[in-house]
Amino acid sequence: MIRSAAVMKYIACVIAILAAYLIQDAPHLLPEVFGGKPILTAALAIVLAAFEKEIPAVILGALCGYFADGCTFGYYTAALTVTGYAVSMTMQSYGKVTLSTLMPAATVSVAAVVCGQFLTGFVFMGYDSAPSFFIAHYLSRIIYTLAFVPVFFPFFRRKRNRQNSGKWK
Amino acid sequence: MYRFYEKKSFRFMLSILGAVLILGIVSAGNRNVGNLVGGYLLAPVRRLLTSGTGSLEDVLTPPADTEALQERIVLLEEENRRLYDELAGYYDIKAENEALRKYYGIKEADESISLVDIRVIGRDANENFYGFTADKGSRDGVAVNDPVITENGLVGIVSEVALSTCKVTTVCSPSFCAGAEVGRTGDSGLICGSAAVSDNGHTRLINISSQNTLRTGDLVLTSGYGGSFPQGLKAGKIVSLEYDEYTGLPYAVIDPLENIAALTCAAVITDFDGRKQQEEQDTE
Repeated sequence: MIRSAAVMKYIACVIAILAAYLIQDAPHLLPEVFGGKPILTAALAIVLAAFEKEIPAVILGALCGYFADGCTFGYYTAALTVTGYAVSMTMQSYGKVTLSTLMPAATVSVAAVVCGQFLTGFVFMGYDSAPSFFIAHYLSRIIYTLAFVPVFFPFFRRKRNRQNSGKWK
Repeated sequence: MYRFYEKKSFRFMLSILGAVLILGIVSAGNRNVGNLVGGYLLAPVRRLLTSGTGSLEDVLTPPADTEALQERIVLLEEENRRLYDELAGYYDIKAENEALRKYYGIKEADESISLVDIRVIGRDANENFYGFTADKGSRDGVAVNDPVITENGLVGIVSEVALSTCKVTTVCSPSFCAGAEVGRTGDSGLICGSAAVSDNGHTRLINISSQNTLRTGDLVLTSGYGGSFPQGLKAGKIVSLEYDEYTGLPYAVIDPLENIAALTCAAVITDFDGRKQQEEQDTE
């Protein structure tokens, strides 16, 4: 019974990731804000990781990254794999996950992931006007992505708090 | 200090990371390896989502006059029924013909050009220069480095190809480069995107002579040198002439004739004479 519930939970997670990817990638569905579009799969990876143990968090993070990379294995797959692990480990140390404890971790994670992408996909490519481009596009992308963390949070909130609180030593 | 690196889960994360890096290196430049889910299984869903959704802003805009709109809906429904009767059976073919008719002028100018019409099915959130994913891939004859155009002119180049989808890098991207000449003066240069001007949907004409006689409004065309693009494709109009702040060399800011940010359909040039000649030269 518990096993089938766990399977259903992970199926639901995969469906959520697919839905986030399709919404994120659909042209003109989400409006651009200051030249940035949100990376929904990154926000989702962080929320999922907050309520999972390390191994599921790593797998779900890698899956989110695969879709964030446009269904290829690239920067986001690697970055969200590490982020999933780090967020899961950090949030377990808090015991109960709340939005107020998750948001600082999410802010650091999203900022690190997007800044890393800026470095690898823009600065190291030798493109011009990097500082102004970061302010014009990447900063809004970080904030816009973070705005979706509270949106996803309620959907995945309940289980880990009930199952895992107090188990971490 | 808590030694997280001794945990089994940390080793698991490292092995997943290693696998991702190996897969990333193996699949670099080959979109088919990693693109099974997104390119093959999800492409129809994305196509459906694209056709069924507009901007959220459009949905949130309230109607102006409900009664007038209601009447209009009834009239349009009647007209719709009539049109469907007429078009039954021919709808798909007609739509495709319509899409390709726009390029008739280009085809007429150069009969060797082969075209495949494409639709935009994805705009990557990480894309900075209006690049997009289109609904045709290698099974439709699309290949890497094929030029992408609309009836208004050059849009970009195919940068990645999967079986049923392809990724297009636009003229606004700094990684785009094409030989060009200015129709009025014959000045030649390179069309090369730049982050500094891409926000306005503009690109640049660089490597132009310092004795150039260019002026705003001049039409920039592809030169066809190198065999990557057919000669004479309209790339855009010059909107300003400026000097590079580091090198001091002149460059022209070009406004593409197509609104690339709002593009929904285009065409890929899969073959043309210049490319054949270049390929023959290369093999010799």
